[in-house]
Order: sequence, then C-alpha cells, then structure tokens
Amino acid sequence: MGAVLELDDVHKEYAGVPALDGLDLAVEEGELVAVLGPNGAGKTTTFELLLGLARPTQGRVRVLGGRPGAQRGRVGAMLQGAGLPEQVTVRELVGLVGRAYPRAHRTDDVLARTALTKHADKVVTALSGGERQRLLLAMALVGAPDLLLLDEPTAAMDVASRRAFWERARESVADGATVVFATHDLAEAQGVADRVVVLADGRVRADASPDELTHHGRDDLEEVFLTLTQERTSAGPDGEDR
Amino acid sequence: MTATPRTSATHGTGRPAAAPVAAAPRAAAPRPTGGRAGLLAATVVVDLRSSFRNAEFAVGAVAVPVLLYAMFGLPNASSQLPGGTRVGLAMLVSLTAYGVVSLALFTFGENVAKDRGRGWFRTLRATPFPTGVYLAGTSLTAAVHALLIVLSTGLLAALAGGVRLDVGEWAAFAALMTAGVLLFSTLGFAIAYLARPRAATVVANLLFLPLAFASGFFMPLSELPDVMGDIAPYLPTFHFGQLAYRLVMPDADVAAFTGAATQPVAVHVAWVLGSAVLLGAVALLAARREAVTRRG
Repeated sequence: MGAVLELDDVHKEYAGVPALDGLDLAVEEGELVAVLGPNGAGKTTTFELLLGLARPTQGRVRVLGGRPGAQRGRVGAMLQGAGLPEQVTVRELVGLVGRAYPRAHRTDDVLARTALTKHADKVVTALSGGERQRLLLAMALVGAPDLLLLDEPTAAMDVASRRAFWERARESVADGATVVFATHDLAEAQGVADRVVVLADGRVRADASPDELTHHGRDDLEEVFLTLTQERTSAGPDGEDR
Repeated sequence: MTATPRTSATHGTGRPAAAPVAAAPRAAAPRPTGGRAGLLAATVVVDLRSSFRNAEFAVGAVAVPVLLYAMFGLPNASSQLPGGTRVGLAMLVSLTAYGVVSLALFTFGENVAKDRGRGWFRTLRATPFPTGVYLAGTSLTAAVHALLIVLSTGLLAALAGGVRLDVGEWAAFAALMTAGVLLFSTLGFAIAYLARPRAATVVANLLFLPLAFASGFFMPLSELPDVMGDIAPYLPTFHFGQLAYRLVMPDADVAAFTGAATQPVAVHVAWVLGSAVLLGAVALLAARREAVTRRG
C-alpha cells in the first residue's frame, strides 16, 4: 500500500505567525486517521494545505501522488465552517457537486447513505446543524473519493447522528477510501480511528494507534492528550483554530 | 505520563477497535458530466430554481420594474413625443434598463458577495467544480431574469399601454437587455470582490442610485440638476440607455425624451463594452488577489 498523503517538513506562516512548524505526516491507503490538537495546533491549516487551498511556506505536500489540488476529482472534503448557498435544496446541491467528479455515486444513493432522503427537498436554510453536516458529508462522498478529509465533521451533531456519521465513514473505508479527520472529541478519536495523530504548535507530538497511546487502555486518553499538549494549550485569544 | 507514543511520521498498526459497519462496496460509475458546458447548464438550472424560491428576488428584481411602469408609464403611455413615439414605449425602455442594471448590481452582485462572505466559494474550491464555471452560470441565470423583466414589463406595456413593436424590434430589445445584464454583471462582480461582503449592498446602493438618475432612467436629464447632465456622458449606464432608446425610437425622440443629445452608436457601444472589460478585469484581479492571499 502506498502513501495517500505526505507532508514533509512543512512550514506555514500567516503574516509571519507560524501555523505549522515542520510538520511530518504520512497516511497510507485504507487508514482512518484522527488528527487531534488544541485550538491553534494547525489542524485546519493542514487540511487547507492538503486540499490546495493554501500553499506551504516551506516543505513538501503530496496528495495521491501529486500536488495538492491536482487530484480534486479523487478527494472529498468537509471543511470547518463550510459555507453553502441558502435557497438550494439538498438534492440539487449534492447532484450539482457530483456532476463535477469523474466518477460519482447516484445522488439518491448518497442521500440514502447519509440519511438525507427525507430531507432531499429541503433548502439549506431549513436544515438543522446535524442535517447540514450530513449534507456536507454527502457532498464529500458523492464523488466516490479515494481520500476523505473531514475537518471537525461531527461538531454540530447529536450522539445518534455522530454514530450514524461514522458508520457512513466506515462504509467509505470499506469501499477502499482513506479517511483523515480532525476532531476535539478524544472519545470519538479513540473509538473511531485506526490511528491518532496529536498536533500541537504546528508539529506532530504523537502518532500511534489509540491502544498504543493509552497503553492498551491503562491510561486515560484525555490525560495523555493534556500531557502531550500541556505546554502548548495555547488557544488563541479568539479561540480559533489555525 | 505513561504513554509512549511515537513522535515520528510512522503509521498506526491496528485496524479499528470498533467493528466496521458491514456494507457492500458500492462502485461508482463514470458519469458523463457534459464537461464545463454541462456544469454550466446544471448551475443555471439549480440557480434559477433557487432564485424562484426567494420571494424577495421575485419582488425586487422582476416586480419592481413592472410596478414602476404601472405607476409612471401607464398614466402617460398614450402621450406622444415630437417624432410620434409613444411615451409608453420610452418609459418601457427606461424602466427595463433600470431593472436590468439593478439586477446586475443587486441580484447578481449581492448574491456573489453573500456567497463569498458565507464561504461557499471556499467550499466549492475544495471540489473539482470550477468556481469560474459556477460564476458564469449565475451570470447566465441573471440573463434569464433579464428576459423575464423584458417579458413582464413588455407585456404590461403592450396590453395596457398600447405599445407596439414588430417581432424583430422586440427580439432586438430583449437581446440588448440580456446583453446588458451580462455586461453590467462585471460591475456587480467587482463590488462583490472589492467590498466587504456585508458592505456590498450599501456600496451597490451608493453606486446604483446616482447611475440610474444620471442615466435618465427615472426622469429626463433636462429636468435634473445640470451636474447630472454633465456627468451622464461618462457613465456606461447612460450609454446603455441611449443604445436601448435608439433601438426602438428615432434620434429626435431620444433627445427629446432623455434631454441629452445623441451621439454615434459606436460611441455608446465603446463605452458599454469598454467599461465591461475594465470592470471585469478589476473584478478578476480582486478575485485573484483574494485567492493568492488565502493560499499564501
């Protein structure tokens, strides 16, 4: 199995402020990887680099063997705070985005898979937070992506929706996709991911399976996380992630 | 701290602890998208449907020119200009041109600004959907809206105002108005990218009202302060109006109705096309600057 994405010694600065400071990460095909980190750790910046929405100040980023953005037809993404047009229905939006992918699932199949069938004719403004997140997931899945990049995908979801969401994500992994997701929810990372990457201050602080991180459950993941990031729990004054 | 996590870029070992959901792999089939033309057509269809769900659009973009015509055009419709043109026809041109420029600035420009502000273009950039195709699709939607304005205002003028044009003149008038919304959408586009998203409506209003008055869309320039007549020749909307009047009225009646001396058609065309190219370039530069700033 080859690396689906690689970041080698990646640095990224915004107006002289470092967001990433020598990030090294590689993810192989079929993995389900959780990226954890306090606010400002660099999670969102990492996703933006992988999607080609931002360029590294220094270092090398490869996605599916090419430069980021070159393989958008094989990548599905859910961005944090993603914007949507307001008066468009769920079915229209998923269908429209799906048309741009070289291989795509049928819109109705994706809506069924994301439990949106009964909301298909609702406009975006009529959706609840969880439904909106599922719509974003549907838009990410419709192109039958080889790589799914999900930035805090379950942030607005209730427990049942989260569970269903991760079932859908696992189906994608079963279909052969690689999934990388950012989250603040440690239990979610522990329960869902094959592998957990902890970022702090723009660098990888830990990279292991949940079992390894907690010494087979002997340690509490929250304590492990706080220890790994305690010198770095530097949520910016605005609390925003970078 | 007892955990000894790896800090290198090596990979996790185990498969998930939680049982994966049993699901049959679902193969996606290659699906003809119709290329960029297909995406463009799909965008227009979705955008049109979306616009008609929005009551404010129907009232603001289409109904206002019709209402203005009913209030100000119909009462004077049967009056005649010195060359024999019915005032109802001249008012039809004025208020349709007003509607088209308003559409380009408010409906198109404001929508682009809102989409930009709420992050829809960022979402789109994470997909293979070209943002330029999406914007072109929304411009074409505005052209369809312009046709609706021509159709609804024209129907009222013909049925209640006694306005008569032959089929060719109606077609030419509709074509010019459609072209107008596409050309002036560059101004809406520029406002959307140069102004902060929340300020776009204010900026559009600040520009639109002087443009509409100084172009003679609401009343003849001869009845407005001299300064309006002085600046009119430097406004692309004035030249657009002049082209529209001259399409269906003799020059003498254009001058009588607008209070402005006519100029060669080529001058009007040059102003309208030149401003569209200039504003389009400004808008593209602003969009590019934003993209580069974001990418870093």
